[in-house]
Amino acid sequence: MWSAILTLLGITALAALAGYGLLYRLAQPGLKPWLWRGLVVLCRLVLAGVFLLAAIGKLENPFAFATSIYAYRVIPASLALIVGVVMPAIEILAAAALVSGVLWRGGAVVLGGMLIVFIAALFQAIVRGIDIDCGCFGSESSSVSFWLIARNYLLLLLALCPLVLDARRWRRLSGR
Amino acid sequence: MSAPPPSAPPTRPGRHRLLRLCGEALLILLLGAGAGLARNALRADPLPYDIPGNMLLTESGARVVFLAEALVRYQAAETIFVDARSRDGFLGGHIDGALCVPLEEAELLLDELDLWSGGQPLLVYGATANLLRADELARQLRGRLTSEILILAGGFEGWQQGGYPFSDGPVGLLDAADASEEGGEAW
Repeated sequence: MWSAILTLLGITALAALAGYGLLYRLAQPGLKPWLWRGLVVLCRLVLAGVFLLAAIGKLENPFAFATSIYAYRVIPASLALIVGVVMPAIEILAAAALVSGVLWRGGAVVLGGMLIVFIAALFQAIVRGIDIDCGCFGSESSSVSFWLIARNYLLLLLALCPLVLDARRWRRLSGR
Repeated sequence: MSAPPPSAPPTRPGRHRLLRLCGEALLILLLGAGAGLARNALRADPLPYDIPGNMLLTESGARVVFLAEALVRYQAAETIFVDARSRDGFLGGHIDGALCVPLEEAELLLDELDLWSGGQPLLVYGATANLLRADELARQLRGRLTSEILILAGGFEGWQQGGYPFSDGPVGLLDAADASEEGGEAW
């Protein structure tokens, strides 16, 4: 168990350092407008694409997805069924917001929050020795591992980047 | 000389911005949740929210399938149906084309079942919605066979009540001896 905790702490520290370095750099003045605009759009599109793919895989069989959620042994069966029905729709809506630009900040916050929950769920499954499929992409899912946690950290960075860049632009425009 | 106009109270644009961000996120969550629940309600076979935990996560680890999916698999004829009930129960009526593998005799019949399955998925069912019997057989099958093992929710009772095809008689009875003597041509 301790090795799992140490591994997670290591991955988290690496992700935090990389994320802080990148976000700090992006928040500095001097970044060309076309560059930050391009970065914001790129991050939004990549994140939306990943979650759209994930949602389509889950929509095909909500029961199978609910069993995947329940297999983490964190929430009761009835709640797992509701989450199994609701989560793909939320993912699609948030992804659509990121692509269209309507409420995209809210979409990024929602997906970022979901990724944090996914990381916590994956971690507790590893620590408790629960060997299951992650359920991330419906039937096309891989087994729970630290690699998935690292991947989710990367996606979390994609959710944070446009928010940080947007906040930076807002600060510049408002003269703060 | 008129007095200067009172200055406006200091605004907190950062807080407003944060509130707007939370509001947008909440709106997406609520709209998404509503859309998901509505989509499920409008489905031909809406997912019920009161399924017990042992149907979501069986002891054997086998996935539970509902009647709608079982019927699709039955019509595609790419899944072997396995009856986990006793021989008497099987003779009294079973899913058309199913193989009889009573839980008590499973150990003896596994080799022949392996021959018959040919790597196809196996859908195990018991008498009723109580999955204990089917789950135990699924556990034994998963330990020995490489085929995908599934469990039918509702069991034979649910299949009958759904009006799906079933038959009675000895067709589908497996005999452990036949596996070696006749190469699985028992039925």
